[in-house]
Amino acid sequence: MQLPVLNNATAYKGARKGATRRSFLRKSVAFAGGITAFAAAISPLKDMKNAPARSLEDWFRDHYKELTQEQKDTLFADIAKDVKEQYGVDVTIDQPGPIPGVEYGYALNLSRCNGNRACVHACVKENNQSRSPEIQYIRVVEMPAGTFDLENGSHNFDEALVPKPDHYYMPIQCHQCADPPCVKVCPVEATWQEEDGITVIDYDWCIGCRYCQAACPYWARHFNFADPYIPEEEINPDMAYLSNRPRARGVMEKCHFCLQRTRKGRLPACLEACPTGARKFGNLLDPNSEVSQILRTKRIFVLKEDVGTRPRFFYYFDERTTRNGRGTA
Amino acid sequence: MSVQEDKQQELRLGNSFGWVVAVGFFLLAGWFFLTEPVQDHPLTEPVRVQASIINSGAFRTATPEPPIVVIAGMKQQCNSCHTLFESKQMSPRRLAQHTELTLNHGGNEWCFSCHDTEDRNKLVLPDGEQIGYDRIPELCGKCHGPTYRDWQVGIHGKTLGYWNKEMGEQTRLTCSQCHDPHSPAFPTMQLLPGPNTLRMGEGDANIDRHDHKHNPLRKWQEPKSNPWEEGH
Repeated sequence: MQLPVLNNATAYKGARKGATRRSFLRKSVAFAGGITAFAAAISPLKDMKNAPARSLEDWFRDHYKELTQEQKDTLFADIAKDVKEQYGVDVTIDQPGPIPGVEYGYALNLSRCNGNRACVHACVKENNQSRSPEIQYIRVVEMPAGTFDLENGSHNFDEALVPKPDHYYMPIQCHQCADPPCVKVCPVEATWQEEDGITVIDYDWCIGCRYCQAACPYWARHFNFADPYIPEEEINPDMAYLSNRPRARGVMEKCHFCLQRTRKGRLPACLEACPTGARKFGNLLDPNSEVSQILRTKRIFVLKEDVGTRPRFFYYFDERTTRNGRGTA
Repeated sequence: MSVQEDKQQELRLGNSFGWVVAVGFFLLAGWFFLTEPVQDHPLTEPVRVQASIINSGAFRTATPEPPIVVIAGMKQQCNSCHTLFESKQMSPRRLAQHTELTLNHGGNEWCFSCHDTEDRNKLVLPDGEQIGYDRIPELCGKCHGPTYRDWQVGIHGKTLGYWNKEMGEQTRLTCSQCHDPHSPAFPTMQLLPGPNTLRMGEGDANIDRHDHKHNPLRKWQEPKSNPWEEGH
């Protein structure tokens, strides 16, 4: 009986070849290169002072796990813990849902607004916006009287006293469109319109592609080009998941009608800060609300009506102006 | 020189090149670990607005009902003086008292258009009805009809608190919580700092194209240490 002879000649030859000095060195170089590349790739980890407490939860949410209320509570608690570590502030985070039978609307009286920018800075404070690089949801445009051409407007007006004679002021923020182009273009569905008309952003889902910023005709969306800076003493501890919790670098943010306040019945921060009472907010579905009264009785317009976004933010006028002593109403 | 020698020469060259690359990579790795993290934080000087500047309430304090005025540090009612000193002359004139008031109310130049001649703790409607200071909007509305109509339904004026009255308390400010009754035109105001990052084309004022002040990614140069960690 003849045993099968294994022909090991080729394998032996290969082994011999692998043991040459040249191939050893080549492999060493490749190995060293690999180690270096790996080291470079993980080197940002050493700068990570506070590893996020919710990293595992992040991973699960990246893999499409529907959260129960208990898991949401855990998530909110973890975010609060992260905020505590980063800013040293005790905060409460929740996510109030839309109130049934409510559709929010905003109306702004151009005859009254005097452009003092109190709304801008009240909003920054309320919604924990980055102070540097600067993110502001509201931009106030100073417009010469007698024109609606925004190209004649100025953001950087800097008078000693406002209003400037023969000028009016047009604050612009997210118009919470009924047909929002920003939602249509989002490739990952990180932004959507809720029942009450507020378009929200999930900052953990946003990939920062900025398509929505390009799509918005009102310049309402803002991108965090860098890690936001918020002074610890100025953190607003009353936070909601889809609104004013601190954002990270590389995500979009925008006005959300202060949903952490308005969904609990309160008025938005910009409205309460406005010294002139030019801002009006309420439920469009309630015929007796302030905004409904305005839509019914005043001359109103929406910005860039021709682009078909159907904003829920309305501008209106009084019959006569009392500004600059030019009227007596 | 034989072919074999040539090949060995080539081999040696190749090997030394490999070492150079390897050492280079190791140095690079060391550099990654030893240097400070790259500061790619585009810092612009933060605009600091004190929260106390932003007044989320009434623009001014209205006279309460019953009217209290502070004279020489003492709280007094109007009638504390006006019952002692009788006003005999009931015609428009320059006052020796109340010099702190600026009367700039259009054609309404007479105290007793609004104040009651008999009881100075009261105001008076054009039909002669005495009213308290809590009914000021009614009085103003006698002349400012359209504004009063708007105020009644919430179009004119400032609302505070809750938009939904079922969920919390709503406060509607009255006329004199924003307007000085003696000089009712809303005053010009100081404005808060403008944006650092916005530009809007040719027409935008204060734009110097050679100044990179408005660049949203402008790096903060001076001082070199983190300006906020030093109680800036």
